[in-house]
Amino acid sequence: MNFLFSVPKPEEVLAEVKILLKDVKYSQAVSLLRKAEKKNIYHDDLILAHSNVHALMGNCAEQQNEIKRFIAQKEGDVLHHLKAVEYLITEEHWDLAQKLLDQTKVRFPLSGFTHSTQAQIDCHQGGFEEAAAALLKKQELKKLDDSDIKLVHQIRKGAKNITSLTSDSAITTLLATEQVRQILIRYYYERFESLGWNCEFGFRQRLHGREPLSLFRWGTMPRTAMVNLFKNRFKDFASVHSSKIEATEPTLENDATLEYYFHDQGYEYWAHTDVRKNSVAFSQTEEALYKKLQPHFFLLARKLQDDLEDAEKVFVYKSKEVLSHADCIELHDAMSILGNNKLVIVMLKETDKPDFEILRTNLIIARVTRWWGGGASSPEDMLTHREWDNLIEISYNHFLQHYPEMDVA
Amino acid sequence: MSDSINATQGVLEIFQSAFNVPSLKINPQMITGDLKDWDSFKNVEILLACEARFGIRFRSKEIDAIRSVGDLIAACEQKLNAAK
Repeated sequence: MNFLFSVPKPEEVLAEVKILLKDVKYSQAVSLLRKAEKKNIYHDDLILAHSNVHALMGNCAEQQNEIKRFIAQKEGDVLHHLKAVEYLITEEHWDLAQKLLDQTKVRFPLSGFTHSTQAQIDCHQGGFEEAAAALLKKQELKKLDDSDIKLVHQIRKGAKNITSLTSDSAITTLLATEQVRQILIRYYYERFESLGWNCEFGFRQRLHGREPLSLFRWGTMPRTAMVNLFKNRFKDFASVHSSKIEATEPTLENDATLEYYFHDQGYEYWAHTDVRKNSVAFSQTEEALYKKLQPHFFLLARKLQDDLEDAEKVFVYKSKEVLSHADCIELHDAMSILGNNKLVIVMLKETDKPDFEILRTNLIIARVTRWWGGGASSPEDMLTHREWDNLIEISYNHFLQHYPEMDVA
Repeated sequence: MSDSINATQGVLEIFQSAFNVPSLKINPQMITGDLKDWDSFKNVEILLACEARFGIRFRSKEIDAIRSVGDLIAACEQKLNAAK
């Protein structure tokens, strides 16, 4: 790069500095950074890089001066302070990171972010009890949130190796809080994908903060047709030869409920289109409407096929009929053609049948007392919420034992 | 024009067309539900429009990671960069 005749972008300077540092050309890196500064090329990352070069050259005082210069740019912004701390953590300058973090905590005593960063440093150094204590402080400030999920997981994992964990330890206290449980439950729900009957599971995911892309669920497709869909690797699903849109009979007396459905005849699949017949302009033919809607269902199928091939999610098949073991295995076998997929089949409770039944390491049957009525606060609905949350937690932890790669937090 | 400007402008135009509001403004923090009629059906329409406009194809896990307009723009940029 020729700095004499052109003004480079900060990221270009940074890239060049990184190359020089890799080649242990520290003096040249400093020289390049100074040149950039003379040309008024300012960027936060360049100051941090400058501090790092000084650290590598053993100039601790200069390193700290650069950090101070960085902080001064946005002194009143806690996240700016923590960016410097994060940078020091990345470069493994632990002592200076801790020193700067301590100063930041004093400067911003009500910030929750500082406690997360403290927990991050503690986890890095194997201090899981200290990390839990830091997150409890954040919780006291009512600032613990979903962004802390990774730290909660690290603490949980770390705690497994601690044999002397007492009931009053920070780890035990943290993991027992309802808020942490809710954070974990939300994380679990994100790892699941609905296949079965109606919208219940999708709505449960929505309750836990996930907005599934598709409210066109697979729930209307009979199980045997779904088995064929997977065996055929989605061949001809939503093809122009086998699908069309059809206006259904009104479900209420009011004609406004007359809705177009997407119908795949080959796989006996019906799905909402959310297009009301009376909202479609007279001039718009059903053929034109079909052309507009068909790609939606093609995308839906493509997405599910990706998921089955990636085999990273846990699929939930809610069945309103009681299925035999052979039925469950047939569905799972069909899914397994596309990938090593994990499946939970959810049915209503039967006498003398356990709440959880492991048919294969990657196939579980779970049984619930009742389906959710869609409400939130009646005692029956609360039972359903608890049952579903419990079911998801147990299933997730079962699969995690056999497939540790599931844990992406 | 850079991929970043391309993607930002393209996604803006896609939103304006999808919601039929030529003067519509978007920002990176916006999420489903922030505009009238913005639901999961609309998200499919927007994703398909992005794929068609930029000549890209999203994988399922990439779609799942898109939570906001900013995520969508970043995902389009990433795809455009990868295609170079």
